[in-house]
Amino acid sequence: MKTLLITFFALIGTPLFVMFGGITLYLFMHEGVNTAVIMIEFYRLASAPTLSAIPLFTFAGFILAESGAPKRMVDLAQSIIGSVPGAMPVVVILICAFFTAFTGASGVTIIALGGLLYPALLKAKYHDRFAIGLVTSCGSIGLLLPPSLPLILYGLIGQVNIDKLFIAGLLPSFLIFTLLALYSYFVSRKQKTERVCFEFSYVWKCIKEAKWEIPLPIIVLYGIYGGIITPSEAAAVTAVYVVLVEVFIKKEIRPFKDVPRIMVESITMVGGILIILGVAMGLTSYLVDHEVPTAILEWVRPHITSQAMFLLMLNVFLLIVGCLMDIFSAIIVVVPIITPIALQYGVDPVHLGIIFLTNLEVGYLHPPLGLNLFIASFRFKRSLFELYWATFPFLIIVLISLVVITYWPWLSTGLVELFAGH
Amino acid sequence: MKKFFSKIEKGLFVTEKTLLCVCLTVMLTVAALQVFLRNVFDTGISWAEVFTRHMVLFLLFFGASLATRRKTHLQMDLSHKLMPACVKPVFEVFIFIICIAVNSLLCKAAWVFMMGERESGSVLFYQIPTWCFIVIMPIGFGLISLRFVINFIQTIHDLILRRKPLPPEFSIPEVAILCSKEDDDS
Repeated sequence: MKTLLITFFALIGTPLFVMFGGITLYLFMHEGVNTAVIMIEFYRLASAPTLSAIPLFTFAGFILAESGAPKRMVDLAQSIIGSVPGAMPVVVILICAFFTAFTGASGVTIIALGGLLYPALLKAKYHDRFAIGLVTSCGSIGLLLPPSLPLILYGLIGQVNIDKLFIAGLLPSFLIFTLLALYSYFVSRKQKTERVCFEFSYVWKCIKEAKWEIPLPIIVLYGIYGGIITPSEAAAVTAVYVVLVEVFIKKEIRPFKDVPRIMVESITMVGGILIILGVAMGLTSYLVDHEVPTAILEWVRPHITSQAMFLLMLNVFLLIVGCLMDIFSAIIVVVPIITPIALQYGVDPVHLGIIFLTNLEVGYLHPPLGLNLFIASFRFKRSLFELYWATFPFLIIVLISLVVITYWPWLSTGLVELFAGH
Repeated sequence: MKKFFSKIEKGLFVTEKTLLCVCLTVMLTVAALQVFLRNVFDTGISWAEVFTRHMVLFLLFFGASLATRRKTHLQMDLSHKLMPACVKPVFEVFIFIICIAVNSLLCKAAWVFMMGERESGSVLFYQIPTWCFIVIMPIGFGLISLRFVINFIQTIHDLILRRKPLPPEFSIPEVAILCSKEDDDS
């Protein structure tokens, strides 16, 4: 009865933080525990060292997406590799990955960059269906790359070292890029697309235009991988740098009109995620105290006998979760319960994180309810059905990558071990 | 009556927005200054870490309150994808009642927690007691409850006047962001 009631309220669209808050309140009151304990758990958020990276990176990403930076970077990338067949899709993939990694939310990429990338693909004579499919699918491509918000959130909740996750995501992302680029190459051969000629003077012009944005990934990556600054410090440096460049040097963002608006937009999104995290801390600690993960493990152990089978079930389970929830809520809800079980089956927490995020990435595109499909349908004014068709080949590619990433742990952990060896 | 409500709402909105921007700016300045001092001058602000993390708590509540205003809290995706726009307000009334109840209880819990910290007399840094930062928790949940009350009244009002509700896509945060430019100018 209680479960039915909870499911009903979840399905009619009760905000998740209210669901968790309500359930936790009920559980604590039922046991006669003071509800202030929920707040003690909530307050534990303020002792998480990487917490401040989340709002700062998101703010920086939103500023970048609103400025002229995407156009300058598209121009630059196109001027360098535009003469290679199938280059324009690769440009789209790279730019989308960069911005998804920064803004953390794939919908923002489609909404902010769709209007720039989609016409550019059409101009290069790619078919409409391919163009729409590519832009929609690329919305979630950068999830595994630093400094993506879901990666940080996974590290925070799963108690996994974020530096390791940042390294672990590199090869799997590279795999997805390569497969997508190969597919685009074949499409461009078939659709007789146009290429631009390589001109050194034009490349130079584009480099000069984008000279302030080029150092950005270097600052972030060198700062984090080089061990000079922590991820949250890198976030602060990035945010300040981006504000200085886009507001004061490029003057594309107005300091008194746009900056406060972008602050409000980015923090509204972050606040919506973090409040779920805070309220769920109480619920998670209740579940762990009452050994719910152990109970689930006892329950599944007779049915799931090997690691391979566990991974398969995990994939199916996460695909369903990915259809039902957005990525942030999914991480907050599922990670604390799944991690101890996965450990029992000998799955490395870093590998688990990459599987987790790749699965949810697929969930973004998965018909009938993938979030990217809905956002793109809204953005490009197309029917959902058209988008199912347009994204279908890309969905297959990401699914293939998912299988490889799941059953080839080295892809995720190999580089981490190599770096640890140093 | 309606004017009175929209005046309160507007005042709340402007205050929250202003405080949010101030908090983010202060946090950004302190965090960046800390990196600069630590790497260039080999010194630092001892309280910078703790302070920025507590600022995130402030941002969290202002952001969440604004998300309540915009009705963009994350939820199970099924509802806004499958539910027809005309049915949504009826369910919303139910949802808002639950939200008001839960948030008031959370607000009370946060109040008890804050008072407990106040009595314990713990200090965060220098002479600043911890409860001065925790105070945002009851205030935050209170603000969110208030926002839900406003949403509740608005929805009932729209139902009575048979005003057309926003299409359900608008509860996807990203879509709401796209449409927020006009929203903020009004």
